[in-house]
Amino acid sequence: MSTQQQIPCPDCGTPIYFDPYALVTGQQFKCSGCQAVISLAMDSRSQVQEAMQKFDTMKQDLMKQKTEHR
Amino acid sequence: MPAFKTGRFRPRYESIPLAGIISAPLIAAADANAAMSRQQAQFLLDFCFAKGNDGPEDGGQGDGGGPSGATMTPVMISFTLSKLVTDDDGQAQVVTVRFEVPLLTIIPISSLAVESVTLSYTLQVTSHTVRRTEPLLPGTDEKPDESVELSARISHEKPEANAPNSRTTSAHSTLAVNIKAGQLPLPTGLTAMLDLYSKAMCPIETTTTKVSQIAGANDVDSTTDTVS
Repeated sequence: MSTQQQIPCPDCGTPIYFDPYALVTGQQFKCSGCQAVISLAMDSRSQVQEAMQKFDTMKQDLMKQKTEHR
Repeated sequence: MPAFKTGRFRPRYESIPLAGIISAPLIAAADANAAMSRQQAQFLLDFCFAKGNDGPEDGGQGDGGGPSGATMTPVMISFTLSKLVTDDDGQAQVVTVRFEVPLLTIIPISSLAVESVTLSYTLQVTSHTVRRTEPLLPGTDEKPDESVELSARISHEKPEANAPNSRTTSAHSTLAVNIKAGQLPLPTGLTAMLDLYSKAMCPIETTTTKVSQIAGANDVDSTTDTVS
């Protein structure tokens, strides 16, 4: 299951594909159109990390419910 | 001459609840999708939107489980973008800008949909019809007044070889159903909102660093603008 996301490059509009899980670790992603490099700002990392953890928890709960109903 | 049932064999699908057999797993999959969509909507409301102060104090719940009447503002997160540019003097500079996007744009929301549902049924219908043409008792003219007809929905046994003076008709029918449901796309409303935010992204220049200074010295000349 792919978790790759994309945002348009603010400079040239080319979609920049990124993995949100890698993003919170500080990884940078390059725009293939203008070679600009984007990364998550330091002050937003904890916020995104918390949201991703909550999202994973919700996903695991749903999978657990799905397994129990089989 | 007794009347024999000599009707042609026709598989009797109508006696089998095919609609229920096929629809039950699909309904279960649809219910699962609906449950996941509700959970995702609640997640978006809880973590990706901030509730304004203009809502009801009792925190009333709308149809989607979110607060009704309150203004929901997307939670924004910040990105930095660095790019090598050449200024008017021909000097290369690394320009760093900061831009904000809604938190919900980086959550892989649609990945929670049921990706594929494949149902495969094999239905075997066997009908076995025997029609006697010889007398029941030897030496008499008494003949059976009806045929023997056996029907089965599922049978693994082959009909026996024809008895003398009898005819056996057997029919097998196979029905295979394959249904696939693909990954659900994002709701149109959510897509439109994300598109609006994408188009409204406005980078704010934060630092400009000369490349020669990065390579040469420790005292990097950085300027910070807070243009809004």
